[in-house]
Amino acid sequence: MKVGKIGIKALVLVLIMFYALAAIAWVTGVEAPEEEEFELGEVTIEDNGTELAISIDEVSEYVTEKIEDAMGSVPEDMEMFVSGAYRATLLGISEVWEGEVPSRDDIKIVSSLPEPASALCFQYITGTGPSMENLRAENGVFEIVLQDGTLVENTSVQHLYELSKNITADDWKFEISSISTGESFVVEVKGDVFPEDFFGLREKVVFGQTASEKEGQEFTWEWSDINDGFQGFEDYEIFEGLEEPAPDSATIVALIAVILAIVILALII
Amino acid sequence: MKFKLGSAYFAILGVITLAFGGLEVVTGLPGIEGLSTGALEIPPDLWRGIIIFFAGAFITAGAFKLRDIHGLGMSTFGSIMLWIIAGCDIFTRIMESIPNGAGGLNSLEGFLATYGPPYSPALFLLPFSLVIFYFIKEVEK
Repeated sequence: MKVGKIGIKALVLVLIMFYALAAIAWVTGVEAPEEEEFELGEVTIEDNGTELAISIDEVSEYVTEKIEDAMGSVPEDMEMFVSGAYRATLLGISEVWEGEVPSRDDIKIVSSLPEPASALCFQYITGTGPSMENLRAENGVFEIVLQDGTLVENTSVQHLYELSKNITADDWKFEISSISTGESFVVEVKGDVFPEDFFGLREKVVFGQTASEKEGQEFTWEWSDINDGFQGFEDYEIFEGLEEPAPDSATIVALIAVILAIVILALII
Repeated sequence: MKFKLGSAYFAILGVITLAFGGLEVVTGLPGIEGLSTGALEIPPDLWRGIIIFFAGAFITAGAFKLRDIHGLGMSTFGSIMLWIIAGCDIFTRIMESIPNGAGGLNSLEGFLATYGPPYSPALFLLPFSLVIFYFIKEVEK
């Protein structure tokens, strides 16, 4: 009976406190400080002593130009592959060089994804891409090694485009390493980043040309969502093996203190 | 006299609740966006809307026979439905007000701002529905 009364008192107290706070907030018109949103940084490397900050737009422009030159048009989901590869590079570099700026000729990237847009993104960063002679003074290493260990020697856009027909979520693995120290980090995109039917739908829409209008629209939504995730989500949300930052212990203590305060006040009243 | 006034009060409250519930149902339909005016915001949530709509229907139906235990029970039941929805809103705001979303504690401005407008109709209607306790006590006498 007593416990029941305390419960009711605590509930009344919470209600009074809530409406009092709501009234204060409404009358004073207080606004929350702007939340810190995730910002897609730039890939910073050194090329023969010169620091370069490579933005995703710069990479996208290069990739679009090269794919257009080779195929005459750009596959609609190209942007998603560029974003994924760019994010993987950002994470890989931060993990291997830990805040240091790597030299371009020290970077080695091994991709398991046989696809032209992601490959061109990695090639641009390592300075190994086509027509890059005037854009770089030195270059790193870029390779495509399939899951079964096969090295893809022909990295032409056409060939990779054909290979990309059968890719799955498991192929989104990239090993970024330092040639000088041998230290490496494997960036693996989480499987649940991709909707279940995504790669089947991609094959149908991009390669099969038999997709209905509805399927085409669905595919556009799906790859756009994935692309938004690559550009806006935190690392732990899209890549395997990274832990979500634990809540501050002060938050837990504050929550316990609030609950205790309500119970104590209810007891006093 | 008290019960006549009470009947009128709960009939009006019930109709208002019913109307807000209807609006939430309509805004919850696909392709329709939520409504917002001043401090009031109608969230586009179909299921919430259905609960509030029926809460309004029960409050109104019970309001006309408030002296009778069945009528009072119906209005109380409608009020409880409303409290559940408002309670969820209050609980959400309390939980959101303490952490800052980045693993730390919220600032004072951030904490207070969580309690600021816009408010859902359930939050506006909750204090008015608490009058039901007065009539429960009256019937108990």
